[in-house]
Amino acid sequence: MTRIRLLDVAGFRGIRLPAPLDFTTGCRSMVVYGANGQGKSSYVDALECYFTGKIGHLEKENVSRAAYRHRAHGSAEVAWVRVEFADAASNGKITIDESRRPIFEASGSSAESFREQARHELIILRHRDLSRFVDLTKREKLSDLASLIGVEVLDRTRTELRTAARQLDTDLSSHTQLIRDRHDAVARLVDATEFELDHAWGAITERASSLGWTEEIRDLSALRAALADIHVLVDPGRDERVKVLDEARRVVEQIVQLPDPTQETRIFVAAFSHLAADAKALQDLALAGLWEAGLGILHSTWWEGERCPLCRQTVTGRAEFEQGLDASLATAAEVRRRRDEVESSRDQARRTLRSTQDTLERVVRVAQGLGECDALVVVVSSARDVLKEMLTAVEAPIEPGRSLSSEFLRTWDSLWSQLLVTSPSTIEALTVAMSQIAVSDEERRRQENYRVLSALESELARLDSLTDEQRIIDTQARSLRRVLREFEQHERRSITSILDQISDNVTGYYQTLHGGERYANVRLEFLPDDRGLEFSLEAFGERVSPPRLVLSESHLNSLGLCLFLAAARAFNSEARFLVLDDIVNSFDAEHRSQLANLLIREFADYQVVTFTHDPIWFDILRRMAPAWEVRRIVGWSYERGVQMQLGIEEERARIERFLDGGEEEIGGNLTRQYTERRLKHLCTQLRVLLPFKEGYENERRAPDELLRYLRQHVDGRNQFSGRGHSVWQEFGACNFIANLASHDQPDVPIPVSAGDIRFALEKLDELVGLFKCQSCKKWVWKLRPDPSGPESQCECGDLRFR
Amino acid sequence: MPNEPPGPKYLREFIESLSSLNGVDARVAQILRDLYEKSALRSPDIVAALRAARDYPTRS
Repeated sequence: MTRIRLLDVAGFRGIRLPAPLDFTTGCRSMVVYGANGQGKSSYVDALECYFTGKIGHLEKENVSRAAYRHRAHGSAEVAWVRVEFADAASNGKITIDESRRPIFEASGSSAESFREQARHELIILRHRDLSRFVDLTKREKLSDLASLIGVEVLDRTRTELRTAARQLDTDLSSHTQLIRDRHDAVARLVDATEFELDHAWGAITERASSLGWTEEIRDLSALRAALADIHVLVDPGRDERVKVLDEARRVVEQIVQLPDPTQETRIFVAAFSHLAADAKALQDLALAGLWEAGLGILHSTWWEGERCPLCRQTVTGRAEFEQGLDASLATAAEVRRRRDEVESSRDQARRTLRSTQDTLERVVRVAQGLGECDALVVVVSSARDVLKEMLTAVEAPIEPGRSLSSEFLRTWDSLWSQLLVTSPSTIEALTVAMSQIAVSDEERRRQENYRVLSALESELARLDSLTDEQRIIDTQARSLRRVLREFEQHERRSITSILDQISDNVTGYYQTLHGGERYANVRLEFLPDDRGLEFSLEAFGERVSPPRLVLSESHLNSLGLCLFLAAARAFNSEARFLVLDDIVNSFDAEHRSQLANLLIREFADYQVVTFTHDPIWFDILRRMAPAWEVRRIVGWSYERGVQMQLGIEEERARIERFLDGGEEEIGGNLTRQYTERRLKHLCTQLRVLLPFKEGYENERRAPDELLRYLRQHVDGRNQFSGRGHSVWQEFGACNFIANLASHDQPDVPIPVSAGDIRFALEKLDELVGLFKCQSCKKWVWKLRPDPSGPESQCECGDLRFR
Repeated sequence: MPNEPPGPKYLREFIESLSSLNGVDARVAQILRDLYEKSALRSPDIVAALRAARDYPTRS
């Protein structure tokens, strides 16, 4: 675990010019004071961005990463956050260029791994987050804490185990259903209404005995032995042959049922021959087109009187010519009708012949090779060939004088007669053959028994496998459920143990803040049924949950703070530093002291960095934690960003620079602040008593007032050599110089010069020097008590203070 | 300060205690341990490993 050595920021948020926070080589705790809007939270944002690469409260709609860079930062300038740690190997830096993406650069060897681990730890607490956790729902609380303490791995594992257990239950129920299906199948095969294994074996034995098996069957191996023996008694190939014969008989029967397929062919041949023999009619049909064209010319308007438009001759008897054409066209129409009838009969003949051809093809295909069909196949094959010739012949075109041969018809008639005789005899032969090889009723019964026994063997074998598998699944499912139950108890115990650890610290811290009040024993409890967490505490003699029922807003904030501190102490493994940003807004003065007490005592082993705008909280920490570093933000400007209070010597050099430059007004103003600061420091160290003032007024002390009470404080110290020194009067006389020069009186002409201001500063140095031994350089407030008397003195004895 | 987050530590303790858990089949416990070692303690992997382990003897 490590602490922060240096936080160096520039160009980031409200910090423009480099304004580092140096925690010294001791990596000490620090309180940083600054008024609102002076850039305190920019340091907190810088640390958050360093570890996480983003600023959580800026991850909002319409807020881009542009907000990470200081607005006055030029595009060529790079913003950075550089962090040095006690362990230099963890040092690193993020830069944000104009692309606005923070880029991490590791300076040390373990910087990357340290940053990765620390990013998940509790480091930063802002005021707005104080009661956030307290107000989350139970489930959100568990989720929020889960990633921090790593219990999400428990939650995830429980979910995985539960899902797997459910899947195994599904496996089990699907196997149960498969087994039930097999039971039903076996019950059906043994003609039972429901499965019963003894009854099934009895039925199997009985069925096997009907097949000649004489032994009792009580298991699968016995059944398989019986089946191996019974199997040879039946010839399953016979059924196949009967099927072949039966099909052959059915196709041959189709021949018997056929009408003579050549009837349409004969009609076609007659019509074809009759028309082809009428040459005059075919000629009329051929000329019909010409006649129609001639008639068209006669009816056209191209005629001029009686002169033909084609030959330019005068035509006489045109009317008779027209009548002749009409008569010829009428004759041609009659011939066309006769020709259509021939074509129609050709179509019918073609269809019938093709259909018959298909039937004969089927007969040859099915019956070929069957001895009972040999004679028939010869005739059918010849008939099929003749049909083929006929199909060719019927495609002949109609031409004058053409005739179709009727030879194939005569051949067909002969074959058809043979078919009509051969087909019935073939059917008879097939029927006889089938009857000779058909399975007898007895054989059919034996076959059925054999089939049932085979099916039972298959079902029972599958049932056996399923039962074995189910036994294993059941074992696995029960084991996994047991694992899940045990895991849930283990998870509950684990989380409760973690929460108890946190709760003890929360209670302790809460008691430190609110000891003696009416609330006690704060617990953070795991609620497994809700998968959540909730606080409870004792109030008015009973346990109350959630705390909001009884706690005020400030107490809820206290609770949130205590939880943050307790969780950080319990689980931070890398970061031994905490950053608290304005966390005391809802704390009154008493509780602020108690909070300071808690941080200083309980977190003495931590580096605590506190940012505040509250002067009282700042003052409390300065007084109660003198070992802490103290920083003041004294101003902020758009051009420069944060302006941190300088050290005494740096401040003095700055005044000199203004005086050298002739800017007496600025130099005078700074001199007044410088004087106040040095006198306040003296008063604080010497514990000078000043009249109490209310609130912020207590901080506002003019140099005159501080000088007056400081002098009163030393007046009674007879052994203090500086008591009667002339510088008291000299400084008192010139102190007004700085006031005159300062901007408190801007309308008054400046009556003082740089020399006057320098004179006042010399007197201030002289005055402060009274409290420091010029020999051994010891300050008064660091003197050792003199063992011989009630006074303090330095080691060399030159300086005494009593 | 614990260097290991408590969640993973408690999970490891639980896995180590599996073999001594009554009512849990030794093979199931071994499968879960193996998957944990391989960082594969996820339900599909658990179910797949358990299904693969059902090499039950076939009765004949």
